[in-house]
Amino acid sequence: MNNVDRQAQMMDYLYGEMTDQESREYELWLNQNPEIRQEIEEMRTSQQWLAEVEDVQPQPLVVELPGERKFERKWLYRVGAAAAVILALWLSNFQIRTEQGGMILSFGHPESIQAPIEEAGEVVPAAIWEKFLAENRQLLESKLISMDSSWQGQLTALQKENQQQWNQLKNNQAYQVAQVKQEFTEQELPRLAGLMQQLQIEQQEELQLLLVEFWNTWQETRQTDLQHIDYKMTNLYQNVERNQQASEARVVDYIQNVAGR
Amino acid sequence: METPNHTLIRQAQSGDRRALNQLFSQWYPRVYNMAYRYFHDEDLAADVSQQTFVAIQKSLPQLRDPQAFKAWLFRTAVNCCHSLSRRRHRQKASLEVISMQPGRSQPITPYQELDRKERSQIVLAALQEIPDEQREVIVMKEYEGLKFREIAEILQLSENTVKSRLYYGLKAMRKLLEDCRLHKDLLYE
Repeated sequence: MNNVDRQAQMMDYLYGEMTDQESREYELWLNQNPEIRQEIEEMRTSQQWLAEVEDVQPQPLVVELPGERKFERKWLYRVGAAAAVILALWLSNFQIRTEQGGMILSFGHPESIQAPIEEAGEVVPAAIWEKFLAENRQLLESKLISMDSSWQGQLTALQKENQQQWNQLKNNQAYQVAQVKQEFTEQELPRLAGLMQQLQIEQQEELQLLLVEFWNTWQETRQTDLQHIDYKMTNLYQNVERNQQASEARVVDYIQNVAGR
Repeated sequence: METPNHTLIRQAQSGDRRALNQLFSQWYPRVYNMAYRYFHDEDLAADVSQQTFVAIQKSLPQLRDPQAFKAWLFRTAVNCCHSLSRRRHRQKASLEVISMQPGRSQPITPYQELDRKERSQIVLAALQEIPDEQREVIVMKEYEGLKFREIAEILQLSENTVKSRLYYGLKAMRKLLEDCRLHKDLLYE
């Protein structure tokens, strides 16, 4: 048996990583090799000493997670994409109304997009609608982009505000540390240690506060948006239903007219 | 078999912040203590823990098998210890700082007066004196209770190499503690 194997066996025995059978055989072998048994006993003493070291209470973990922002951004894109369309419609004062027997889509006050109007008794072919959408696609897209940037702007402003608060706290703390440094003597070491600990706790609390605040604001914005989406969807549904009823009535009139001839 | 810990890992992988926090709370004390025993320094332990969890959080979505999480976490922590250790100027005199230098004329503190905390400090200081590769194996085996197979996986070594390092590490510890005039009869029973 070479040295490495001998050491490996000793370690397996010492740490109980042998089977019962292996262990019994090894003990028999140890009886014939007292110097190895002695070596193992010495190692047990080292183990006992090592066991004297107890777990320490960890310092508070303040992890600045770079991925966190990435995650939030991903989440932002998902929710933002879903909400942006409806939000854009709401923010741009989007309206659907019927006028002169036709349907008008309007965005904002000064500018409006007029949908093709059907003349009395005529159905607007699908091709005309497609053409209308194709012609106005650019305008609609620019509205969406502008609303999306407004959304991003709100977020950036919020992040900036939080960053300012955080910087302010750090500056205040740096000032306190500088003051202690100026009048620092060795006797004041416990005071410095206490101050450093306090500063760390303050930082953690402030960070948690900022995160909670950011989260709450975000949730509030989201809730408001969802309410508006719900409101607009209800309106849209009612308008569609009303138009459908009007169309049906017109078809009935038309049929009756034809039948009357 | 899917354990609650594996479920937590999967939730954290899918971006669940609460699960991620829970996962970190669960493993943070172990990583911190491992690093503390490696460096015998609370600030460095905090640095290692922070670096470890930042790295873990960043790469968590790429972890395919949640069963590999523990080994991966410790491997990351050990790598952080290595890289910090390389950057740091090692203070070899740590054992002397606690007034236990061999051959010193001052009397050894009697057992009754040597409380557990002091003895813990002496052992930790002695740990700093042995080579890094022996220390990390001792920390993982003695304090984390990892199997030789797991340590070998984490350090990407053969099991026999791990056992050999542990053997020499324990021998070195015994020698150092004897030099500090710490004997078995000073141990708590």
